[in-house]
Amino acid sequence: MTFSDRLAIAFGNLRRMKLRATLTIAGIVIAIGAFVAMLSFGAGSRRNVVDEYNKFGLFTTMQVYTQGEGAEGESPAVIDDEALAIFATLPGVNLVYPYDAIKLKVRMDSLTCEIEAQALTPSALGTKLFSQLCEGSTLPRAGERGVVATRGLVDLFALSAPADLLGRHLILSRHVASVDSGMSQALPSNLSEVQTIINSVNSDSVRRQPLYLRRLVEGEVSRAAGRFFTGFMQGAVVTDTVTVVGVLKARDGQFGLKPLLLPLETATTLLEAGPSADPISLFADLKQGKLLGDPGGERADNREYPKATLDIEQHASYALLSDTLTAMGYSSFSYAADFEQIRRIFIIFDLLLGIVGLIALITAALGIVNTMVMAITERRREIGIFKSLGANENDIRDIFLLESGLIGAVGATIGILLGWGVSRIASLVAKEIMRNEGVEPVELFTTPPALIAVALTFGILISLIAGAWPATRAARVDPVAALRGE
Amino acid sequence: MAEWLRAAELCRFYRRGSHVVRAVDTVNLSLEQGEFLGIVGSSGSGKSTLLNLLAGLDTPSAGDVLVDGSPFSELSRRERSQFRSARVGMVFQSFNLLPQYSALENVALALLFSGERRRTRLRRAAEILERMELGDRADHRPADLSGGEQQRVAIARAMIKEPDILFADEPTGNLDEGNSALIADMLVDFNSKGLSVVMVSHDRELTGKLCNRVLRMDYGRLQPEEVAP
Ligand SMILES: Nc1ncnc2c1ncn2[C@@H]1O[C@H](COP(=O)(O)OP(=O)(O)OP(=O)(O)O)[C@@H](O)[C@H]1O
Ligand SMILES: [Mg+2]
Repeated sequence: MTFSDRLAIAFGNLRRMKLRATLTIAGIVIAIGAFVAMLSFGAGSRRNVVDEYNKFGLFTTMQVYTQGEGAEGESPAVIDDEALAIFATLPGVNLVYPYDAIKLKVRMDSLTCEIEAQALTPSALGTKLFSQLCEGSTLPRAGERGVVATRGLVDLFALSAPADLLGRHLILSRHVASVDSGMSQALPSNLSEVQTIINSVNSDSVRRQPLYLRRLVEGEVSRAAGRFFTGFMQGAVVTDTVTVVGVLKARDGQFGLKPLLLPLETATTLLEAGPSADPISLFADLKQGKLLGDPGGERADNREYPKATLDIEQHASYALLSDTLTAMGYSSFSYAADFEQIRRIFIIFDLLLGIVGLIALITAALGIVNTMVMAITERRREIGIFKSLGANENDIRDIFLLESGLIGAVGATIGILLGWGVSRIASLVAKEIMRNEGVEPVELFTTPPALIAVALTFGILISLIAGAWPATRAARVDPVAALRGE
Repeated sequence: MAEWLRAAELCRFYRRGSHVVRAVDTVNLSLEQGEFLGIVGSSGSGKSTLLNLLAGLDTPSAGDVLVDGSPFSELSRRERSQFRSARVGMVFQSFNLLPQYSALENVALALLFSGERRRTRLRRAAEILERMELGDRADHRPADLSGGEQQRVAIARAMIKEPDILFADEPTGNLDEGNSALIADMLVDFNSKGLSVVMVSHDRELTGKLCNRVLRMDYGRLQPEEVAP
């Protein structure tokens, strides 16, 4: 008896019990359909996250931070230009750029906002993180002082769409402290003022009490220092006009992005005008002794940054890199390591969905057991005749097993189609809802070939397991008793 | 002629609670090639049980059946199936055709377990039905056939694999005289071509007409003396 003979008999038997077979198959169809639809959702969600990560190059991005206070006795490792140069030599690192934030006032038309802008080298601007634009491009056209904005700026200027920002001119201004301005304030501005001071001095008192003069001079000096500081702080305002050439897709605050990204060139022009007039950063700079000496060159050479970003190769080892950085006294964060966590959650999620599907499948499999056990009772005589004609126990067992296998295969095939169809419909509905809500529609369902293979295998396997016991019983039917009609 | 099938001290007991039914009790029987043996006896005397034992369909409680000197007890179940499939034909009082298949398919079914291809099976089934003048009934389901026709289809099914022996358990029991005569003619014809036949029948006239030898069973025991044909 060949396989096709068995198959033909099994198929014929299913056709004979059409209604019952159909109902049993329906059970499998629903179970497999639910299984496929649910896991398609799981796979879709996972793919969305992976896509997002890939889109922004997060798998190849690592952040390095200073650790604040170092260990006892040691000064904490800082991220300065020297450190950046060392990072660049670490294995697997393609590109290093510092996180360089500048406080700016941005004016567009009559609106002014205070923001922080991030300065980036052209190669950093070329990385995936800054290349996901919803409008425009990152590369400034020739002769244009271009900047890239994020959606944060769109919101700050209360614009309705990112496109509205494109091509707009922004006036960037930075308030810097200035020694010149300080000096001009410290010195009395005209001669009549000097005369007033002199007139106010009582010459008798000066002669009788030398201390009086000293107090007078000291008072004058401290007043002058006060005036210098005020003048210094009032300082000067440097401005620059730039054009928005692109708007990033990333949402506000995502990946720690600032509302405005400046090419390093533009940032330098603003930075080199002088130290920030912000008292806090000024005080910090003073403490580090950075305000002394040549305000331009010296300062730029020795800047420290709160963090740096490493753009690393696709297959570089995060763990190794992270360990190296820790050994160097830095702390680090990689989205790839973060993703491991997310992946674990997805596996649990898939497992839960799979278990629900499996429970449905087991329930459906009980239907197969029921159908096949009833089939034995009905076909006892037939089994007896087959045996009298020379069928052995394996022949009988195989026919019954094949019948339940067929129920599983047909059920699983239709179930996969059903599950796929349901996930397509659900996807369309979900996209429509997202569109109506003003969210960019994403694909929530994916049915990977592996899922189809697993569903088909599961469907057939569980049906065969369900059919195994009835098939063994069928094979053991006593032909003599069966033919007697007992 | 040479002996080829033998029952040695063959027993088949059924246990009914504390009561034991001796359906076949210590039967010794020797069958020669080409012989037409008749078995008679009252209802419940164990004729069918003996037939099933000889065909290898039933397993004896004690004793053995030997084919060409080799005992059944030394064969696996699979080997006994093979023996049935290749060398034994069986015909029953109640025809035992499968209702869902046509006459042709029912006949072809007998070749299913002998490894023939489907095409060959159907061709040979058509041939034998033609020879038994049932060619025009090939596509009919058993329900659409008369009793006589059904039994002829059953005989065709038993004979298609050209067995060495045919076990017929009251083949004419459900048929009228005309059809009985037709079946009898067929069996005689096959027997004349070398087929051994063991036939159980109540019909003394039939056994007298067909059989070389007729034995009687009483309460599971095969009487040694021949019954006068
Ligand atoms: N499975 C069984 N359990 C118990 N007793 C059985 C069983 N099968 C058969 N018997 C008994 O064995 C005896 C022989 O039965 P068998 O069918 O061989 O008789 P038979 O001679 O063929 O009768 P009939 O002429 O009516 O067909 C009977 O008494 C029957 O009741
Ligand atoms: Mg009987």
